[in-house]
Amino acid sequence: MIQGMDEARLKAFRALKPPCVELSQVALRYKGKKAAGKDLVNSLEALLGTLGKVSKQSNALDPRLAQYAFFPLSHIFRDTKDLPVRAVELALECLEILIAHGWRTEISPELGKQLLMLLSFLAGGSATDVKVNSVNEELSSAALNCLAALFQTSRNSVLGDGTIEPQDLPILGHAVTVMLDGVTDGPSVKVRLAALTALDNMINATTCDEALKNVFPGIVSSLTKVLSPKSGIKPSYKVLAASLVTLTTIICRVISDDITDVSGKGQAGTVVVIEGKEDGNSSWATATAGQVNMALANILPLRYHDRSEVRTALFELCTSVIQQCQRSLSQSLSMLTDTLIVLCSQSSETEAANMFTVDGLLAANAGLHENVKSSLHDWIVALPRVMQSNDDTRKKKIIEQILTSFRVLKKHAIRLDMLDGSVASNLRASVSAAIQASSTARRPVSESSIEVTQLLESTSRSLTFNTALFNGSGSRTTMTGLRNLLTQLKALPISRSLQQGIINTLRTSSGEEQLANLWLALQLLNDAPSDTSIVDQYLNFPPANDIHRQMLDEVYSFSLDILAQSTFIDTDRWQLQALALESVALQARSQRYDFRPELVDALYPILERLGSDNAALQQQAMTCLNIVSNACDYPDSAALIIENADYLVNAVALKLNTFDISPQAPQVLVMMIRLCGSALIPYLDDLVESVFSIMACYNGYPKLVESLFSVLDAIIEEAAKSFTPAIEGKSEDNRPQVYRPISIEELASIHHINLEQTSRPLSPPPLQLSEPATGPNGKESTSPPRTSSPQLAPLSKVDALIISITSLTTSHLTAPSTTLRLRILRLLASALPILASNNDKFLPIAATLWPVIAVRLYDSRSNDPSTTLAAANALSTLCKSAGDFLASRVEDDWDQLCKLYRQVEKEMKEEARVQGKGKGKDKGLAKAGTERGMRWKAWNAVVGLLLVIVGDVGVTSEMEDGIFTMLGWLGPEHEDIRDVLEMLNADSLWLVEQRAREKRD
Amino acid sequence: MFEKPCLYSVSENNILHCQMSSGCLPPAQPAFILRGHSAQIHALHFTKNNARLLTADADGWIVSWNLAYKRPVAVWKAHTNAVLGLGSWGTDRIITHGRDDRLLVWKLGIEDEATLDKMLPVDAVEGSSKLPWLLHLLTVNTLNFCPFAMCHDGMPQVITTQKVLKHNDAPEPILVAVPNTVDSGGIDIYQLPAQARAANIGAERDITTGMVMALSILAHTTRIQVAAGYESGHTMVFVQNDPAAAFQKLYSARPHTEPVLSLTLSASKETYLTTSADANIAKHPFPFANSIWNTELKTIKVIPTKHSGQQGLSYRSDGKVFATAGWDSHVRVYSGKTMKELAVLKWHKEGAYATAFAAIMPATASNLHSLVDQASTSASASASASTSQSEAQSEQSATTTLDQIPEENDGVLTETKIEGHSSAVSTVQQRRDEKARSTHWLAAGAKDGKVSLWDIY
Repeated sequence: MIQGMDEARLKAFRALKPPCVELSQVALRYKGKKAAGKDLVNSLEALLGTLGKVSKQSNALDPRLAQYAFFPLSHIFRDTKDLPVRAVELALECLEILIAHGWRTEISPELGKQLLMLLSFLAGGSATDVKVNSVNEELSSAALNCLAALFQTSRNSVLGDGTIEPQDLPILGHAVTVMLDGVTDGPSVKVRLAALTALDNMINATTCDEALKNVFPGIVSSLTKVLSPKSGIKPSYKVLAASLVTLTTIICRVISDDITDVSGKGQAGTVVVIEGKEDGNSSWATATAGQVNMALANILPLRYHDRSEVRTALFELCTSVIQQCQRSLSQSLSMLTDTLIVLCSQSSETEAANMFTVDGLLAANAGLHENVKSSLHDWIVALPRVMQSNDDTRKKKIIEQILTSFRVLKKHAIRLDMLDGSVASNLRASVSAAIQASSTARRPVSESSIEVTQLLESTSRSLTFNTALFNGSGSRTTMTGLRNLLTQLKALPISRSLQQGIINTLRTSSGEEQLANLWLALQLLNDAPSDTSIVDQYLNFPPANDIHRQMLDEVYSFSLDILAQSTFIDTDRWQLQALALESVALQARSQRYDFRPELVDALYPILERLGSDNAALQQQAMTCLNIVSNACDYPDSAALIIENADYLVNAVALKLNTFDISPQAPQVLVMMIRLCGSALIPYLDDLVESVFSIMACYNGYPKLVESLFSVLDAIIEEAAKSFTPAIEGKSEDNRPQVYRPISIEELASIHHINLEQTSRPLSPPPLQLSEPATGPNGKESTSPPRTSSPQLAPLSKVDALIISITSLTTSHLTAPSTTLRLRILRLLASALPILASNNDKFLPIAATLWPVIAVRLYDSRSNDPSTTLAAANALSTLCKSAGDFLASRVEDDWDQLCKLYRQVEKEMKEEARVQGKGKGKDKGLAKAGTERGMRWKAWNAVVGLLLVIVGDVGVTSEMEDGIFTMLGWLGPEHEDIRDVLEMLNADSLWLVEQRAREKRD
Repeated sequence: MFEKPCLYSVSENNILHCQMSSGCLPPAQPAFILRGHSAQIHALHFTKNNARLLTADADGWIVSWNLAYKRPVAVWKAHTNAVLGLGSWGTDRIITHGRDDRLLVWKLGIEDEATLDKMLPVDAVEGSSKLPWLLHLLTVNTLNFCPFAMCHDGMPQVITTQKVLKHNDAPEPILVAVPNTVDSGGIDIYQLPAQARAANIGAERDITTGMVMALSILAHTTRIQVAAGYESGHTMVFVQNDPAAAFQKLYSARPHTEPVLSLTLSASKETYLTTSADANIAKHPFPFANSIWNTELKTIKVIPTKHSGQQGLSYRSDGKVFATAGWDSHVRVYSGKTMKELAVLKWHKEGAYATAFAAIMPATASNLHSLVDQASTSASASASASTSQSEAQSEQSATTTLDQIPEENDGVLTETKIEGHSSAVSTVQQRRDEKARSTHWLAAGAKDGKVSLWDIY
């Protein structure tokens, strides 16, 4: 073994000898100016190469060989000033190898001291001279490396074991200064890092506490200077991290509890012996602690540093200090724990490990809990202020911090009673501040208010709410943060009192605060408490579910109150309504099928919001509806509405009854009618009354009237749909006018009877069913009794409703508003065919309606043609439906009708003339309908009415003449008119046509 | 007089408050409108601890509404003519009295509802509805429009019969008062389930009273006391102290110039009220206790209301308020003590005919119910529901002896506790039922076929 070693040494020696000899020769020659710097560099390189090789063989180098190899190097070091920098650098590198592998721990103090001085000088210049020459970067880095090696390998031996002689202190001091200069002012990262390594090694190597104490303030302040972000230049993260490591080392070395504790013990026990010294020690410790505290305060802002390396180093610093200097640096502890939490909350990748460490720390030191708590408290108090600011990252940070501290505290099951009050109020304030900050964006208004039915059909099946609050991109993250925080809070024991506090103030607060409250409550109650402890179930406590439910109920009932308010008044607070919708959905989700009865109160408000002109609220309502129908087990929202139509009818009726004239009620009603069809109509009678009474009071508001009429239209339409078969199946049998044209001679057998009966139009229809003119349903001989009586009973309610609609509308026909009159007339036109199926009821109505509408017709001559048009159409329908029942009325009014016809014809021609300008008058008439004016349309409608009168009501012979004078000229051009006239009296038609032909010829 | 004065003062305060606030508040709105009858509503009756409202119309239809859901649970056509009166007997028996000269007793427990039709009269096709089980049929005189009156038979039962009855889960016997079949000024009293005529009060010979228009009856042991209102505007109280004796006239007055329309006993059973086609509402003594000092019986108070034609009198079970349905379509609420008008409820557009109050449940009783109901709803078999509920009701009426029940009840109650906690689902349901039942409903029915529910006082 020894032999082997010797052999290795021998080999090394042999290897080293030539370059060493050469070097010393070259050095000597160089001194005598006989060799160039280049030669020196070459030989140094050779030596370095050899040393490098030798050092790789284990134990080949020993102190003696090192000594041997150092000899030529010493020449170099002696004249560093005159030598090329490169040479010195290489020499230093060689020296480093020698220190690291040669002397190792056996370096003599004397040599160590010399080397220290030398290296310090090389690295930073003389201790006495003030920067004689600017130190070369490479050189100083090499020197510092050397220093590092020196401190590391030589351990205690550089400056002697144990205490350092007082006379040696300056040497050390100089070295430290050089190193610190390197750290603070080093020209490059490399130098700085080298200096830091050296410093670190020095601290580790120095066993003498006194010495360290002496250099401690300098080191700390320099490092602080580097680390405090105040300095303009941003140091490299590597430097920062290394500095932090060094700082950790020195702090732990110098004022860790172990060291200062000695003084503590001394003070307590053996005071007498070393009183003075110990006194000095403790006072020094307190003074230093203050300084360190300040230094740390300057450093800690680094916790927000971008690089995780720096943060990790800082984390290490904090943990080490907390672990080792708990008593000595007690005043910094809160700051440090604070930082720990912040660090934990930031770094995601190392979070787990960090959290683990922090947990361990907290577990070991109960005193830290208070620190965490108080910093948590501070953050919570600061939260509202931060939320008001525009700094989104700051918001995010503080939320994260609160979150982390809650998480930490939760793990240690720490009572947070003291936070109870402040959490709720500050959260509320924060959220409302956040809302305020984000509410600058105005509410989105949907341009075209979509009709509710369409909205239902479009069915976005979305089951998740858009966020009603926080719509800015920045505030979105804030909201996510807050949400996470609340999720965390939910799991804590204080959540109960927090929820309670928030819910209690729900009703008393207002504005943003209320909004915030509701939002918070929703977030907190979002999911039912997942794990109710088994203990709760068996002990006689109210189960957690129970309390949760109570609170949810409270929120729900509050939300219903919000939603019950008229949408009219509350347009500005749409966000509150949106949140209220969310809580309704939440309640539905939690109660599922059992929520169904709640729809009594809840369904209408949801649907009402569907009609909102606010797109966001509308969307929200749609989602809510989806959720509710989903939760309550309905196949879709349409089914939900259909099955709960009774509740909706009730709600709408109450709304209308209180003269709530928001447009939503009619909209919802229309939607229901459309969805449910005619089955709903029997239940709507009082609603219709309310509609009319509202109409009577507010007929000056066209939009409102329009929406109310849409309800009536919907009712009539749906009723008409269900009646369609009845209408079609209804025979023309009570239309005796069809025999009116019976001047046809073929019917000789019944000729006389016919004439008698048709002359009295009110007489019942004779059984002239074989008439070809009876149209498609000529086989209805048994139908009159059948159609009237069995239909009467089951349909009476619908009938009654429509009858009441028609009779109520007539009273509005005198209303001054033209549009209203038009609507009514159109409504009547569509309602009458339905009623016609029930003769007993319809005929009296027809009798009352005729004069009312007819007045409109004649009266409107002075007014506008549109009324004429509508009235004529309504009358046509009436005549068609009532048949010959109206013959006497028509007869009475015949003169007026003729007058009216002449009037409209004149107007029409006038209009055509004006329009047709250069073209021929009559040709203008023949033009396409689209180009024709209102006058023409009115005229056309009147012609239509006359034709209906001829076709369905029947005319007397005198009236017949009038018809031919009025309409005869149209015969050739209009096939339909001609047909009717031909049916009326083919002979007369021929005559008229013949005359016209003659005239033309 | 038995009630503590402080109770009254409290109610006075409430009422005052209501009056003061009514000045500034918008007019009261009904909480819900029950639509479904196509003919005018003639009678209303809360039953099953306020869980159900029975409504009856002029076409003979009866609808039982679930008040929590506000939806029909049973609809049937009980009579071919207008229904005059409704009542409930025990837990599962419904009495209907129609102008088709019949007084019918139906079995309609909660468990029977599932099998019955729910198609409302508006939609229903005549003759198709399924009828509940018919238990009794009495043929009575209904010329007078006078609805029946009923009370528990005070007659002590033979023990063996009682046992048998109890075994059958049958409610205790009742007495039913209706106008005499032949003599429309007289009164017949029948006993059910015996379906036998128990007593008879002849028409008054000295005074021309005309037909009997309204009745009330009360019985205790052998004593039966009847209050009657007549066509002439008279009202009288008759008493029979033991079955053998004839009825004596205790009190007679004529507060009204028009026929009496309705009559109701006060909650304390010491007075009764009458309304008529004229505008008066009168309060009369009903000297049921054998009090010595009430030697001279006088009409206690006559209020001229200026609103003629109020009927459908009903007293709330706590005696604080009573309500009338007016032909002028308004429902009026009066203070039970001062008879002052407290509220006018306007919703119906046509004349109102009937009112009914939900019974005010004392707190303890309702607690008991909630416990028992937990059992009933959580237990899957609805049969157990009816029995436990029947027990609850019998306890509330406090007529059955409580001593016999505990053993059975204990089992039920312990079960409930366990089950009640386990299922949150049933709790939602229960709470809702409980809420619907504890609401102070006032129901009013009118000619328009609609029943308005008001949640007031």
